[in-house]
Amino acid sequence: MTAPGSNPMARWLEDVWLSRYLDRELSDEEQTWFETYMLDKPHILERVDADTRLGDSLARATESSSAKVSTPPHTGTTLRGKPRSPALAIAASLLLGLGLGLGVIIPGLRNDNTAIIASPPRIVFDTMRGAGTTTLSEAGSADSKLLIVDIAAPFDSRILSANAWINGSRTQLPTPTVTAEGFITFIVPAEWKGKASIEIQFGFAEEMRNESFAL
Amino acid sequence: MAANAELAESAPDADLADLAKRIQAGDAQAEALLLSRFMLGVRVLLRRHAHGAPIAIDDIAQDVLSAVLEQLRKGGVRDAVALPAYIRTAAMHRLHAEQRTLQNIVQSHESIDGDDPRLIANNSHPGDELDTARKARHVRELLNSLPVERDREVLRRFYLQEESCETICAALDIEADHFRRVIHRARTRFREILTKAGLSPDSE
Repeated sequence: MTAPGSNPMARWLEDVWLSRYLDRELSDEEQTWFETYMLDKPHILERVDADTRLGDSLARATESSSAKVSTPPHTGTTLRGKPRSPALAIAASLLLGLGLGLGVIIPGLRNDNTAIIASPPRIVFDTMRGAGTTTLSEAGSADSKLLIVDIAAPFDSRILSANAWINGSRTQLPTPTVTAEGFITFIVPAEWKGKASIEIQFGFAEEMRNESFAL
Repeated sequence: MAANAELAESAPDADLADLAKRIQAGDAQAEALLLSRFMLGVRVLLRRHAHGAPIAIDDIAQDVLSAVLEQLRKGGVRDAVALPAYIRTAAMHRLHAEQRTLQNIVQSHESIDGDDPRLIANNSHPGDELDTARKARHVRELLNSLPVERDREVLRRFYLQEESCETICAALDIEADHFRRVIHRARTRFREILTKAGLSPDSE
């Protein structure tokens, strides 16, 4: 993974990275990258520090904090989650929409010699959470090979499956994770714009519903 | 020092290559700019990785950036774009050295009399210890006052036991898709309770 440049990412993309960082969902390599990136970004540091202080408050409030004092620095495998499978990186480099978040997809793409993108184009479908919601499109960089698709999940729904339809043929996408803000994210090839649609099967308490989103 | 106060010290963006060149040329103002640009970041990084251990964060941050400045003066950092990565690595190495030293002290004391390692390592005033203990008890009571048992359990497991999302989801029967919403809500609720009680973690 290359060192972060001096150009800042788009704010929403920073938010995705930050969210993954705080939820300890980044790999060691990604964590190092993001910590380097945030080093001179006060708006990110403030949120990271608030989370650290919250955790420290909790630690001080319990006896288990004593174990932390003598904890040596960890290297390699951590408690943060399962090691990322190489297959995932390969899948990412094939530009399949993983729907697992940018913390997963972007490093995989970088393995494929794709530089980090400060402002990829993005489509936001916030059409399923009541009146007044809209579809937004951000042009982003014309050089980007990627398109970010954010879809607001209906309240109290679960994602059962996701598929992309391109020229009449179906590509199954991994089931996406819903963010704390209630969104799911897909990263797809930029050339899908105007040609493809993403179909999601939402599960509710007593029914299932398919929704299609034309890119 | 509170994060917000530190933020005020941060400098606007300056081109790193230019900054490095000016520092090498002996420009004291460029040195000050570099310090103000990265000091907060180094402190926040160290604090996060120190896990609440009694380590002098501000002193280490100062030492790390002084060493970086020394390298820049000598022209020892060739690729200025890699400067943030260099600073992060220097900070982490220094922190790990401090943690190892602390661990050695704790182990040597444990082998002698088995005292509480926190008291040995902390070396603080008894009055401060009492104040810390009182605050800890208060925070513990507030944690227990969270109305949703699952919030308490998620926070304990995530922050104290550092369990993975998968482990927490399995233990508490939370669907993986919903975990991030659950932890986000739990954090927000606990932070609100702390703030109402005048114990906002952000103001320490």
